Amino acid sequence: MNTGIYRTPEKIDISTNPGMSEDLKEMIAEGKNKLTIDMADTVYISSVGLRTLLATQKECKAAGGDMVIKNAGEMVRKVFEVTGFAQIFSIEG
Amino acid sequence: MSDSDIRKKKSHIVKRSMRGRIIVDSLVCVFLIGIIIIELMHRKPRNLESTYVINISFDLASMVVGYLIYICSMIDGTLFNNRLKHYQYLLNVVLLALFTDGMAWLVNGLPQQRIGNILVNTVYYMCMPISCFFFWHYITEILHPDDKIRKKLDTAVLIGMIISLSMCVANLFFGQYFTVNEMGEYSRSALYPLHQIYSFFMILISLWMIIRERKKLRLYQLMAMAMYILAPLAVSIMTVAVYGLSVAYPVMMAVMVLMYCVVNVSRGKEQAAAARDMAMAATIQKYVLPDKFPAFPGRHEFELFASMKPAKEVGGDFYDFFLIDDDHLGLVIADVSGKGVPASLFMMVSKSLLKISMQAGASPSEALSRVNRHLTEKGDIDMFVTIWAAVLCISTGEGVAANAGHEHPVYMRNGDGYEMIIYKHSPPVAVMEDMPFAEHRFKMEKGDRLFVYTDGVSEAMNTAGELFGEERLVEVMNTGRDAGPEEVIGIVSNALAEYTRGAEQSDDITMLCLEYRGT
Repeated sequence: MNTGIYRTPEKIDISTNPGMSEDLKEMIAEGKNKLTIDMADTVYISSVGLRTLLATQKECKAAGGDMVIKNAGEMVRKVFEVTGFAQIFSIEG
Repeated sequence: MSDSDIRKKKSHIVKRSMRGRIIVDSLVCVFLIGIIIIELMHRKPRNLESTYVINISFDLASMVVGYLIYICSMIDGTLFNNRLKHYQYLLNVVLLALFTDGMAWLVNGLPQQRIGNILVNTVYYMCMPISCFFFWHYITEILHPDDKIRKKLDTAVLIGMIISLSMCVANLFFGQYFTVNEMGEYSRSALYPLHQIYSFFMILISLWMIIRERKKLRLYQLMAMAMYILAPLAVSIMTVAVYGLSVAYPVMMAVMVLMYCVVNVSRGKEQAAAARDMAMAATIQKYVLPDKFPAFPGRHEFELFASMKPAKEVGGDFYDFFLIDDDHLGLVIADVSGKGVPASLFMMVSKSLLKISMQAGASPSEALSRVNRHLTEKGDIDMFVTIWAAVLCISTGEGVAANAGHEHPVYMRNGDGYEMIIYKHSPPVAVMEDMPFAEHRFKMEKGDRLFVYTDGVSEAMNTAGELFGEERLVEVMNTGRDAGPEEVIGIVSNALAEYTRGAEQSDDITMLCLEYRGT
C-alpha cells in the first residue's frame, strides 16, 4: 500500500478547489491509495471542497486503500458535523 | 425595456466602440512600423552594422506579431468581460519598447538626430518598469491572491514604478543611465545597473507569486507565465558575448503570444462553455421553483414565503412547498454541491422525486432514502445534495423533519426571539448507498416561525473574505420579531446585501420562512 500526505490550503472554496482536486487525482494516479489529508492550515471549507474530499475517499477505496483526515481545526470539524460528513470520513486528531 | 433588450443594446455599444478602437490602434501601429521602414530605407541597410539590422528586423517582425495578437485580444476581451485589460496594456508597452528599440538603433551615430536619439532611448528605458507593472497586474488578476497581500504589494509595485520612471526623467539632466554625445553616439553610464533594480525586484515577487498561487492554474499555464520572466533574462545572458545584439523584447513578445494561447485562449474556451451552461442552468432552476405568493390563498392557518437569488455561477439550490392532503404541508430546502447544468439536472431529479414520494405519503426520511437510492443506484456520481425536508400537520402543528447535511434551521417559539435549532444531522443524499436518515419531531404553536436557508446565506462573504455566519443571521432576524415570513426574508436579504457590498455573490441565496397561525 502506498501512502501519501496532502496538506490542504487555508481556504477550500471555488477558487482553490480545482488545484486541490487536481493534486489529489494526481497522487491517486501515481498509485498512492492510502492518503492522509492534513487540514491543519484550513480554516474554511465550502461544499465544493467537501465534494472533492468525498470523491477522493471513493477513489482511494476503489483502489483498495483509504483516506484519513488529520489535524482538522474547530471550524472544519463543525462543518463536518453539520453536514453529516463526520459519519462518512475517518477523522483523526 | 426588458433585460434582454438592455443586454443587446450593451453588446452593440461595446461592438461599436471596439471597432473604433481597432481602427485607431491599427493606424497607430501601421504608422509606427512605417516610420521604422522608411528610416531603414533612408539609412540603407548595407551601411548599417549587421547586428543593428538583425535587431531592427526582429523588432519589426515582433511588432507585426504583437499587433495581430492585440487585435485578437480585443475581440476576445469583449467576449469575456474585458478580463484581458492588463494583458492589452502590457502588449502596448512591449510594442512601444520594440518601436523605440528599433528607432534607437536607426538614429544612433547621427549627430543631427541627437535629440531624437535621447528621446527614444528615454522612452525605451521607461518601458521596462511600466511593463513590469502591467505584468504584475496581469498575473494577480488571473491568480487573485489574498486581498491583504495583494493590496500591500500593489502599493509597493506602484511606488517602485514611479521612482523608476522619475529616475528615467532625471537621466535627461544627470545622464546617470546613458548619454548621447555630440556625434549622436549612445553609450551607457556607470550607474546603468541601477536601472535594473526595479525589474529585478519585480522578477522576484512575480515569480514568488506564481509559485505561491500555483494551485490555481494548470502547470503549463504557470510555465508560460514564468517563461515571460525567465526567457528574456536567459536570452540576455546568452547574447552578452555578442556586442549590440538586443533581443530581450522580441523574446518577450514571443512569450506573450505563447502566454496568450496558453493562459487566455484555454481559459476563454472554458469560460464560453461555462457561460452557455450557466445560462441554461439558470433557466431550469428558475422555471421549476414555485414563485407565486401567497402560495395558498385559501389557507389562513399558516403563511409562507420563499426566495432564491441565483449567483452568477448558478448552483443547484432549490426550495419546495406543497399540500400533501388537506391537513398536511410538505416543505423542502436543498443545495446540490455542483454547479451548472449537471447540478440543475440533479436538482430536478431530487426535487420531483421528493415531492412525488412525500405526496404519496412517505415520511421525510423515507422520501430522502428513496431519492438517495435513486441517485446512487447507477454507481458513482460526483455530486451530492444537502436536503432539509419536513411534513407539518396543519391542524395540530405537529411536524416531522429530516436533515441530510443541511444547515441548522432557525426557529422562534412563543415570540421569544429566534434561535438556531442544533441537532445531529444525517450525511447528505447521494453520498452513500442504502443509508438511513434520522427523523425528528417538533410541534409548532400559534405564532411560531420556522426559517430554513442554504449556505449562500450563512457563508456569504464580505470584501475582506469574512463569513456572514450563523450568529449574525440570528441577530439580524431578531431585529424583526413581529415580521411576517415575507418581511423576515426581506430583512435577511437586506442585511446580506449590506454585509457583502462590493463583493461578488458566489453562491445561490435561498430562504424559506413559515409562520404557523393555527386553526
